[in-house]
Amino acid sequence: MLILNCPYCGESADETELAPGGEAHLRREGPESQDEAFESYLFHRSNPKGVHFERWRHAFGCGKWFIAARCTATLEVFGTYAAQTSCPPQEIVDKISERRPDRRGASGS
Amino acid sequence: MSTRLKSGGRRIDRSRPVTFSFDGARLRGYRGDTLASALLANDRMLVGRSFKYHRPRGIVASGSEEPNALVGLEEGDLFEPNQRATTTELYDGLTARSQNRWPSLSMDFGAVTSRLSRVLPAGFYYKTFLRPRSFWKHVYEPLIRRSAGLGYAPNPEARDPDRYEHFYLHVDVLIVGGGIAGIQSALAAGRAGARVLLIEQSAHWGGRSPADHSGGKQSVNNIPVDKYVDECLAELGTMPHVQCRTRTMGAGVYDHGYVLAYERVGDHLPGEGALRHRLWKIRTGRIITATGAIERPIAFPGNDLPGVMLASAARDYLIDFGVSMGKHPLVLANNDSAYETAFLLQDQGVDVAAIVDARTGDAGGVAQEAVERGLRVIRGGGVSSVKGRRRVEGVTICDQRGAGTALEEISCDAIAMSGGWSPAVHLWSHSGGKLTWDARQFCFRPDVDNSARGADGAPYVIAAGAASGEMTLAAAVKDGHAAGLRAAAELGYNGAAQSEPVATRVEEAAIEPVWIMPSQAPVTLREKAFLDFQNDVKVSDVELAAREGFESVEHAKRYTTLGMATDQGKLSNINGIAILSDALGRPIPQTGTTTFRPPYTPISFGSIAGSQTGPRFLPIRRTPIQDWHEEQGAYFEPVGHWRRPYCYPRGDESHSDAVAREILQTRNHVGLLDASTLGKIVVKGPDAGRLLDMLYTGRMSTLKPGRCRYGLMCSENGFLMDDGVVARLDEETFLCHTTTGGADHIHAHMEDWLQTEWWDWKVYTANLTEQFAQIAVVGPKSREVLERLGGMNLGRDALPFMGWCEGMLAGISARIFRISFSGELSYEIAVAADQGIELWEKFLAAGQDFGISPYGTEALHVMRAEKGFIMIGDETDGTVIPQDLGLDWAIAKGKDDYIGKRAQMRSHMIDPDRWKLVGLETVDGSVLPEGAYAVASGKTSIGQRATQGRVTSSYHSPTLGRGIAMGLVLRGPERMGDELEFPGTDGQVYKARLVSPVFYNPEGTKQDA
Amino acid sequence: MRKRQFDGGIARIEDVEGYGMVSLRVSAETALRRARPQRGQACWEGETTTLWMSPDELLFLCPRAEVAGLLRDLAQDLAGVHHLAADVSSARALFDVRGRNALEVMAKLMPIDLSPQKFSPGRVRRSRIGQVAAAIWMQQDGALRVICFRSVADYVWDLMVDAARPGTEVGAF
Repeated sequence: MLILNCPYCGESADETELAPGGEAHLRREGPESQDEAFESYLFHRSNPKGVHFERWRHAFGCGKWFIAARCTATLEVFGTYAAQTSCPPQEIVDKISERRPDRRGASGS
Repeated sequence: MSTRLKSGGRRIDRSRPVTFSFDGARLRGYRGDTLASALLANDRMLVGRSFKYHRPRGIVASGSEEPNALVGLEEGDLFEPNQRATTTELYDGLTARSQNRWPSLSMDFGAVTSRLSRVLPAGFYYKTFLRPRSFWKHVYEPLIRRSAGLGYAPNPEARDPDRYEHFYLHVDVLIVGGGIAGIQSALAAGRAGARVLLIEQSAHWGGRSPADHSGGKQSVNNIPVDKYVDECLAELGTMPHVQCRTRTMGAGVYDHGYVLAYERVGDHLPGEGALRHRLWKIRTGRIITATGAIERPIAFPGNDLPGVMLASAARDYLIDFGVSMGKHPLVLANNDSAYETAFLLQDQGVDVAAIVDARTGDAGGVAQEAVERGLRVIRGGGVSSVKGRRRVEGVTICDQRGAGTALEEISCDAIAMSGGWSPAVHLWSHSGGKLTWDARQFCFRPDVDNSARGADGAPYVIAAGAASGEMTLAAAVKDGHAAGLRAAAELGYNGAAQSEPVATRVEEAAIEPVWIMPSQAPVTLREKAFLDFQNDVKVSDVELAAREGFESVEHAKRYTTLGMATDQGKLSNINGIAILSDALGRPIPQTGTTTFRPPYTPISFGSIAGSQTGPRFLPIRRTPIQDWHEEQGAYFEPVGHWRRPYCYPRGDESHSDAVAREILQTRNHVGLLDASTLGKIVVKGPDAGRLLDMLYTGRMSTLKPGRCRYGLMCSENGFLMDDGVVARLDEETFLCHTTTGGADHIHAHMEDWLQTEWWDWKVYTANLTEQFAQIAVVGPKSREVLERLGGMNLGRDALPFMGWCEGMLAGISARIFRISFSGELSYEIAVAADQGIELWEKFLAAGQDFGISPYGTEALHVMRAEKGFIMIGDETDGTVIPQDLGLDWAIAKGKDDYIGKRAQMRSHMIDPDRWKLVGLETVDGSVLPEGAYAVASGKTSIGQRATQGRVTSSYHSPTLGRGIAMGLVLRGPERMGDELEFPGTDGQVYKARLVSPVFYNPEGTKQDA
Repeated sequence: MRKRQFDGGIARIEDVEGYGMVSLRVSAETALRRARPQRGQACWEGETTTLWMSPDELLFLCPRAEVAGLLRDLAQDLAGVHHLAADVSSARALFDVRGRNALEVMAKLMPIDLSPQKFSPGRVRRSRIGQVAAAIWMQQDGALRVICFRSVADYVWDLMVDAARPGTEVGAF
């Protein structure tokens, strides 16, 4: 039963106030894209056992979408941030490096 | 025989006697008794029969770890099976019945299985009941059903009259366990200033310490232990930020500091209809599990006979309830703690037969004291058999290190056994805390460096006291204090410096492990040494599992069912793990434990549901006109959480007659529909048109103010997910209608794209579904009815088809959309929800001479099908694209991009062999079954009949006097006139022709009137 | 809707009538002529309560008769500025919950921290009651106000009245 801090309204939101939205920072592929790239956009997800960037909507709350950097194995949350970004902000990246020094590539992949 | 002594019993109030009944016998006890202590006071040691072999079972423990004393409590609507007598507080008039026996507890027919135990070892059901196969349904299964199970399920007609609720609480430090360590933690954390909740599952504070130390040999800060506990509680009571609750069990520890606690508010109070249980949903910064330790039985032959009890339980019954387990008890142990039972019994005038101590090492202070008290101590001894059929009558003593050769017989009527102590590590383990094997105390204890971790990655569970392996009074007190300080400090509460409490220390001689008694017991004795009393699992069963290759502790558990009974293995787990390890020749820590899962002990379903039962089970949604529909006796159908009228039967009209009447009335004159449930979303801003052009397949940005356009929404995977009419309110503002089921979801979809993809576009949305009541007035007379209300010009030119206008209709501010889902002249009127019923009644009055009447969702569905209009959820199923439904016209050709466009370019989406929308007309006019498939010749690669189409909607059309249907068929539009076969589930084969799906008024002249 | 009142238990609950509501979407940076509450707060101006709903959403509650005026004022103030003001006076039900145990009654239904130390006058929180979306705030006099969508008003009423049954005080706050 997670509890995540919504960066917009500042509230600690119980998981039952939230709606999950899958992997964050996906790059939308449009009508120009090749089949492989489009398939990847629709269906391929990183599904890591470890640090994951994922979208959450504060559905029973302020209604805003935010992103959480969370470890799927230990449920440690490195931080939450506004969804209007194509990659995690520097302070989140730094926090992850500090907590998981062995992890390669703290970016959204 | 067990008996109530003349005095003593800290918890009972001898001035308040109560009467209760057990198996029909009227017995007496006192307020403060548990059912178990009162039964023992009445010499009722035999309380049930074991699950598999129906062996006689007696009370073994004094708390929630009890495996045997399970009873059916109360009767009728209040009946509840499998209740533990040890945790049932006695009240006047309590009624209890023993379980798993017939015809009676003492003469149980099922006991015959006990004689067959040789052929019914662990896992026997995997090897028997296999042949002949035909016997399974009519012989084996009915037989097993009759003999399996423990308690009886309540009558299916019974309705629980009691109430349940939840409570959400946020605290800093949650302490589970009101024993000496838990109380100490609460004091330390409370003094430091943290918000504390201390919970205790029983009705009293202090845990084991007051009973264990009633002999007065030990103290804390020089105060007797029970007085010390009282003083601590008094101080806790003065702290406003500290809360202490009894009868509240920590049920489970979950992620991010979430804990469930189960409060038995009313179980000890007779009566019904009151609040019975409260489930606490707690978020906490730190959890201190001060859950104590559970004593282990000893696996000796005959250890399951009534009269064999845990030594700590014997102490509890004596000190807390003034009950002696027997007149002539024997104490059997491998550690010092059990000696106190002998001393306390002796102090109360009970004649202790002997203390059999399996250890051979150096005797400690307690052995010395025993000698001084004149008690007989047999060192290095064991029990190789127990005399008695339904009750202990005596034991045979042997050498613990031998194979069971009889050394002497001792007569006794009860055995108080102690095989050591296991910290209660359940809550510690729930969320990932690891365990380590303590090789000195022979138990698993929390690995304090490997606690469960919270959202911030820091450990958030702290074990304290006996639960952490700190078993002595001094160690528990010190550990509890440290845990409280640590929990508070980690959360930033430091408070003033606190002095550490000091408890007396007593030297203890080491425990020696005794996993099998005697240690060289042959298999004939191992078959009589029980590990799990409820499920009848013996030492020999676990050894059998090891021999048959079930080496993992998880496999051995499931193969033998050890630890799978209602006590969740609290008394059997560790002993079983030790036997398994021994059988496999590996150390106990290598075997490990099975996974601990919540709840710690069973909790009621009522508490899980809380108050959300009956009328509060679902958030049923009501339109502004709902009351009126109900008063008319409408028949409702669920649409999401709404309940929409399906039809309005009159008199004893059948539903199909009502639907036909409603359709004909509407098509011939005028009808009324409550369309309030449809989604209404306002989309406004300079980029509103741009957004809608991306979300819809059509081009909404070219829609003119005052006009409406039908739109389709697809997912990124290309499939049709919603449809509805969009109205342009002004240059920057659109109003989007969605299906009833789609309102919240489409609004979320819009916000998703605006917030996470096109966040620099200037668009605001607002979900106004609930702001408006929306009424459809439909039929050739609809315009006249509206004009009778007055206030607005609604002539054909003033409001053409697919236009909208606003004004005051009969004095009510209204927006009118001229749109049609039925193919008739039709208007939808939106007014503020508060005025919905007023407008509805005005329409009814104005249209009376036209016979105006309401129609429901079924008439709605039939009429749209008569016009070939698709419905989301009927013609679509998540795999259908607009091009399948002949809706290419709704896709704007010049658009570069929209959600779903790229997906619709994939080869499978443009395959000419896709099934496409057609109308279907049966040859004989009957109604095609919905969902029926049109068969083709041949078979598929997996041997099923090949198909070439399916029915998506099918109705009887009263307008046309025949059945009509829509379906998706292979190359359908190219095969008009073809006849196909649709097998029904009734053996019939329906023949239908492919026709245009627009059955009624294909020129569209009626809706354009 | 008929006005209901419950006073037979551990808190007093009633329908509040006579209010209109206006939903305003406008960016956080846009200046408004009227007072704008802080994040998670309510503010009062005359008879109007303004609730913070999200960084770019406010909800005004004012006497019904003042709604039209409020909409006109907002249209004027925000002319030329990207915004959305909508009359939502009929979209929601409004309840008043008061008494010594009011916070505890609501804490039986909402997964948020309603302890008196954390929930004080002016505090607004959107969350859920049972299975539906709701918002709760504390008036200046300590009474609680609750809003939910009108279609589930009966459901929310039933939940609150059940939570306020006599004899069900929790004693936690």
